[in-house]
Amino acid sequence: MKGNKAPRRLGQKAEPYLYLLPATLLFIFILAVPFYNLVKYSLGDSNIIQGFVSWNDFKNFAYLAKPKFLGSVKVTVLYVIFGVAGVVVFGTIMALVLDKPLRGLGIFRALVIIPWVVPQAFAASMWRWVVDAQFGFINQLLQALGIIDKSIAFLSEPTSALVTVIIVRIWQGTPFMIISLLAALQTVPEDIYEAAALDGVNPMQRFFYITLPHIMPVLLTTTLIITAWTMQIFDAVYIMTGGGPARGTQLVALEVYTKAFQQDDLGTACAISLCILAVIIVISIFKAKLEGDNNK
Amino acid sequence: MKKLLAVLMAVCMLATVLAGCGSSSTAAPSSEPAASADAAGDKSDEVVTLTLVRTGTPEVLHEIFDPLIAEFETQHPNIKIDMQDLGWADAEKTLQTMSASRTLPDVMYHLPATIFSMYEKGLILDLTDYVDDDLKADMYPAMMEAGQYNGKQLMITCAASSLIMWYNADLFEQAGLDPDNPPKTWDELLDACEALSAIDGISPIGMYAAPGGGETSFFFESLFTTQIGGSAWDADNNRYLYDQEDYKADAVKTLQLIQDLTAYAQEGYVESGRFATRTLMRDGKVGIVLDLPNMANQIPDGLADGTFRAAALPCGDSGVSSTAINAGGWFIPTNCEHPEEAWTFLRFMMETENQFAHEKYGSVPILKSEVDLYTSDYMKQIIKGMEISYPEGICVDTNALWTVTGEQLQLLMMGEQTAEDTWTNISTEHGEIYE
Amino acid sequence: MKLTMTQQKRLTTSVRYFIIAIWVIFTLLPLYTAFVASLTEYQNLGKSFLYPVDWAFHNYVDIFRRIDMASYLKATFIYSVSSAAISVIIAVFTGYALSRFRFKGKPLYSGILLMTQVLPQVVVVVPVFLMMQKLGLYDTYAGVIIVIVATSMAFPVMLMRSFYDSVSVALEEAAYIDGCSRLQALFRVILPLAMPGIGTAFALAFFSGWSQYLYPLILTRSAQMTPVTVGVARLIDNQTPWEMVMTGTLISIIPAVLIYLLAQKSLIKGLSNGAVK
Repeated sequence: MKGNKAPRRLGQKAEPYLYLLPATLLFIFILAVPFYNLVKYSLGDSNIIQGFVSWNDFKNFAYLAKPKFLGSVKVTVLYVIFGVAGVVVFGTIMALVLDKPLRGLGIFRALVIIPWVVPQAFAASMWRWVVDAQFGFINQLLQALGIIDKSIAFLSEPTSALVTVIIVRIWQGTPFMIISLLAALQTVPEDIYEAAALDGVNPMQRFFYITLPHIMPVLLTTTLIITAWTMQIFDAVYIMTGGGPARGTQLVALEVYTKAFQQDDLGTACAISLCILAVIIVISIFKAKLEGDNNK
Repeated sequence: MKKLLAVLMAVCMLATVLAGCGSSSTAAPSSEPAASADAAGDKSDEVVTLTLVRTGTPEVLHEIFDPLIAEFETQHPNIKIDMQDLGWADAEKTLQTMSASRTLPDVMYHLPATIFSMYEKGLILDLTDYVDDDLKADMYPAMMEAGQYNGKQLMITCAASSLIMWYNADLFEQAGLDPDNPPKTWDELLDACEALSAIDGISPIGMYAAPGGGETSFFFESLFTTQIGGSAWDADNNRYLYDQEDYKADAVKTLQLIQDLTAYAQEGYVESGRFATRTLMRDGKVGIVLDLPNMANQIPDGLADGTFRAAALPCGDSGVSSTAINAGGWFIPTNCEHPEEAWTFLRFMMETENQFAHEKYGSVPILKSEVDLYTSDYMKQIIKGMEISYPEGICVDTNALWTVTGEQLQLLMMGEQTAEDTWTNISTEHGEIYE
Repeated sequence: MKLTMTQQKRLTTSVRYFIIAIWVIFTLLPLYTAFVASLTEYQNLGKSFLYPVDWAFHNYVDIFRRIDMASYLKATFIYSVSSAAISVIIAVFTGYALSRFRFKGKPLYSGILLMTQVLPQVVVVVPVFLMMQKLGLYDTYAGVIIVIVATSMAFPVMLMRSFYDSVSVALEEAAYIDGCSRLQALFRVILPLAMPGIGTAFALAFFSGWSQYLYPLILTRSAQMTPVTVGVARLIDNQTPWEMVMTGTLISIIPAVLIYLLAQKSLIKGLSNGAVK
């Protein structure tokens, strides 16, 4: 991309690898063996205690075609799309309103990042108490105000349960987006805004023609990472709904967890993980293409 | 610009310092336990150190165990006990890594399904020959059986729960029911719910349908035992009886009862777990809840003044108010280097008074000799049921079986499918797991 | 209908406050519920979440007695600060290489980087555990920190890369003409410009270290290496003292937020000193 413009120097060929060395060593050290295992375990009957036990004619991958699994793929697609879209939209809006000086800005910035520090399992317990049908905060509040007399059971019906866990995902994921974008916004040169203001550009145009192109690389990177993380989430959902009702929130990551730890079937868990990995690779190729186009 | 560089330098320096401090401060503590273990190995004729793990909340466990361990160490000066902590939330994951690396503690407490599955992988010591006649005679048969797998005693049960009926006597009176004569059969239970439904602002029965953890499977299996008058589990074949065609009628009848009861359940029972129904009981918002003895800890005041009472589970066609038993217990892993000493400690824990002390953590009595030590009404009620209780179906596939049952029961309780369809689905999916 | 400059400014400000207010309420809603629960006695949990029925402030004292909160916090602090610092240092170089060099296998490298983020922890943890045992790093801070860095480094690296990408190459070239080496140019010219990126990468790596659960759980055994997450989760049981769990969680949030506030302050100061312009 830009490297070819740099001056040619002695040992230039080796130089990039030197910079990459620490990270690469760490990856090989920690992740090469697990990755090898992931592939190996997925090919047969495996469990955590004994590892690979015996070859089983790709039975683990056959599970990927079962209606049960396809059902959870559908749920996961909805969860990831709406979860990530929510994080991107609300994260961008919040980063924009928190960017320029404002009285109390420091406090607000500190408050909005809190969800990021709350461990998933505890966040889920807190949210359960917010939405619980019997003693949840929302139901108690609405009843005290006389707005409802029968409590709303958010988690008792598949669709509303899925919406609820997506909202929790947005709650947890947005701070990350806000912090990343706040940093990116600081790199937008102030004088461009000033020039635009003189030209009478309206806020919408200013956002789409000036701000967005500047924060695009960070926005894309963060979105990609958020997508990868969202696909992996299970503890928050497991604690709130256990995958129910009627498998309405049975995410693929939850399948991985139950298969590996509860059903002693590491093989299928690894097959599913490989499948998630493939999706991530496709998305990252897409991202690389997108960035390539931007650079032209 | 210069200032920024300074900040950067500071960050880097801080980083190196902290990284250094992180690794240097580790050296001392990590070498310590290793050294002591070596020492114990060298002079094996002197002092043996046993590691002990009792899964559960450390703060409560230490209160119970520290004095017991002190007493044991006085009695057995050649054995030291090193108790380590493991919470329930992490138990399965930690156990599997400890198993994979053969670093399980010398004596440990856990649940039978996991223990049996570990036995299949050669990790668990067979305790059959260790168990003495005194212990055999003293333990309730169901408790003894709960630790047996393929005819071998792999676990010594030391904590268990049964299902009983909790009810609110005040609400019973308001509904014109006799609190001294609570429902004894399924029909009476439904009638009582009908009567309670006349009271405004409460739900006749508190139900929980959230899948996971086997809560609803246990509910179903307990009721099923009262229908057939025996265990729901066929220990010889490691299968649930209710999966078999012969027991279809009984299973469907039990499932139908569960679906019928949901008509009287609280709003949002589909998402409720036991915790939710316990708070409802405490706040006087439900008339009846079928729950474990643990309910008592959440409703101490009402229990003391007689508002809340316990009775045996209403029974089905068999006429016997039995219950399933959900158990956990001690085991010794094969990687333990001092099994004799480990058994000595385990046996010490099973002595009447020590076991009684251990049960403060939350359990029904395990030993017949403990019965007189309990005085409260609800415990007496539970003790009455101990002779007619059956260990819950436990095999290596239990967790997978429960996952299926839990999902299907939730669908049944949501009214998404009939009792008959639920049975068909459970027995088909269980069939696949047995294969 | 045209608004004057001041009117427009006032309008923007009130719209901003309005949006912030809504989001802050949304953010704090579950935390408020947890706060109410943390002030409740066990027997009264669930009675009211609108306001505390007990005002049991003693829970905040009791938790330090009932579990080893102070030691847990110390361990958490060590894990998060060290892993964040190492991640940032690595990210500074790796991100630079990915942004400025053209080399064989670059797309593949980025792909591998991303893959480290999706390897299920379940799969990673057992082989890593066995390896750490062989290397004598089991039950050490260093062992846990290495794993945290390796599994959460991808984001700092990619973030730094994006920041370098947005810094013009022309500046660097000017530095070369002045006789700077590449490393000198990186430290004197580029890094100051990418300062917000470094701060952000540090903050994010710090927070992900703060909420680590599985790795410290599996890779340590000693009490003094137990982080808050693991220590508090041990309370979860079939009759969990939720008031204690919530008290513990809220206490563990406070230092993290304070540290963010401090970092943010120095970060903004650094910027307003005029480095960017």
